[in-house]
Amino acid sequence: MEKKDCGYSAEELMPLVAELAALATEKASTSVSYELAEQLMEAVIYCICEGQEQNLPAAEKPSARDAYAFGYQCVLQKVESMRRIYNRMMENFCDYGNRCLSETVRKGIPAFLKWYDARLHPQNTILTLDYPLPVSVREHCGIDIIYNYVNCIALEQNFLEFFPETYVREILKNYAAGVTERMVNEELYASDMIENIGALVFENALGRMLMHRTEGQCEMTDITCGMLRRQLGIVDRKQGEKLLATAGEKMLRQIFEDGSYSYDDAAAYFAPVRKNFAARIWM
Amino acid sequence: MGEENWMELMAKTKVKVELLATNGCTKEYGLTLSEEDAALLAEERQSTLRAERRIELGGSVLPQIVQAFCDSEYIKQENYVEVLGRLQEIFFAYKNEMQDEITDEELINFMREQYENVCFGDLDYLEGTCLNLFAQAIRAGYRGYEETDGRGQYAQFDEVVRWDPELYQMALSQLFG
Repeated sequence: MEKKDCGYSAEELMPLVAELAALATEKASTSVSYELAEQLMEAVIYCICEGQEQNLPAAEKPSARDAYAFGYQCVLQKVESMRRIYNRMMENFCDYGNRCLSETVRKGIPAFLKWYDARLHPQNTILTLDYPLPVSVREHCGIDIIYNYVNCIALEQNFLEFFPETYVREILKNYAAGVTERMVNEELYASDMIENIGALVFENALGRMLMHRTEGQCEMTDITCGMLRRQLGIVDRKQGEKLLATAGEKMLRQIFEDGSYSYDDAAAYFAPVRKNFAARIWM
Repeated sequence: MGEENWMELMAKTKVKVELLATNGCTKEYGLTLSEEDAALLAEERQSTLRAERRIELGGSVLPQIVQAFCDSEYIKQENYVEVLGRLQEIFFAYKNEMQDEITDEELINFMREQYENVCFGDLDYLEGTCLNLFAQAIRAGYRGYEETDGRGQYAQFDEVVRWDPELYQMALSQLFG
C-alpha cells in the first residue's frame, strides 16, 4: 500500500499503535515484529485518512486519537454501506452463467465481510477481485476498493437488467465462439471466460443501435466494425468517438432514467468501453 | 551514542527504572542490579530488539524474566547480568522462531523450567536444543502448551532418554545403600 501522509507524526501515532498491538496480542506479549508494527501503523493511518476524506475541515486540527476514532467509525460505516448495496444487488443478481462473476460476487464478497478486520487490518483488501471491470478501482485498498467494486458491479447489474437474460447469454456465447473460432464448446467457454459482461453487452447494444438493427445479435468483430465505419461514413477517429458518445448517451439515459445510479455514473463506468470501441471501429 | 531518537531514549530510561525496581524482590536471593547493570541491560535490549526486528511498544519483558529466574540455583550475583542479557536475547529470538504463537508468560515458563531441570544452567543447551525442539513443534502446529502455560511440555519432545527421578533415586540407593 502506498504510504499516505495523514498529517500526524510517528510520535503522535505511536500510542495508538501500541494500543492496537496490545489488542492484537491480547496483551499477552510486550513485543511485536516489525511487520506487525508496520501493519498496525498503516491501520491507524488508513482510518485517519478515511476520516479526513469524510470530514469537513475543522477550525482546529483534532488530536491523533480523535482523528483515528472518527476515521475508524467512517470505515465501519463504509462497510455497512457496502453491505447494504450488496444485499440490495443480490435480490435480483444474475451471473449469466459466468463462473468468474458468480464466484467473485456470491463467494468473494461474503468472505470479505466475514474476514475484514476494520481495527487491526483495515487496509487489507483480502480478495483478488478476479471479475474484471472497465474502470480501475485498484488505486485504493481495503474497504475503499471493495466498496467501489461492489458499487460498479451493482451499476453493471442495473444496466444488464434492461436486456433479456437470453439476449445477454447469447452475446456471451457468440463472443466465445468468435474468440475460440468455434473450436470448443461456446457455452462452456462463456461460463469460464474472464471478461466484463457489461462491456460486451454495451458494445453489442451500441453497435445494433448504430446499425439500426432491431433484432438479433450484432457481434462487434473486426469485419462488423469495418462495416460500421463505412455505413456511418466515419472519416476520422474523433468523428467516430463523437458518434459513439451521442449514441451511448442516448442509450444510457434511457436505461438509467429512474434507476439507483445516475446517467453520469453509468457514463463514467462505460467510457473506457466506448473509447475502446471507437478505436476498434477506426482501426 | 549515534543518532538516537527521543522515543528510544525514553524507553531505555523506563526500562532502567523498571529493572532497578526488581531489586526489591531479587535481593532475598542475593541478586541486585546496579545503575550501570540496568543501563547495560537496557542498551542490550535495544540492540537485541533491533537485531530480531521486534519492537516493544508498552513495557519491557525484562522484569518478567527477572521475576521468573531470580530464584534459580544457577544464577549468582557474579553471572546475574550476563545471564539476564543472554536470556533476553534467547527470548526475543524464539518469539520469532515460534512465530508469535506463544505468549510471553508461556515462553518464560518453558525457558525457566528447562533452564533449571534439563539444562542445569547451560544457556547454550537451552537455546540450541530445548527451545529449538519446542519451536519446531509449535511451527508444526502444536498448541498443547496453552493448557499448562508452557509448563511440563518438554518431555514429549526430548530426544534424550532420561532417568525418571524416582527410579534414579531407587537405583542410587540400591547401588550405594
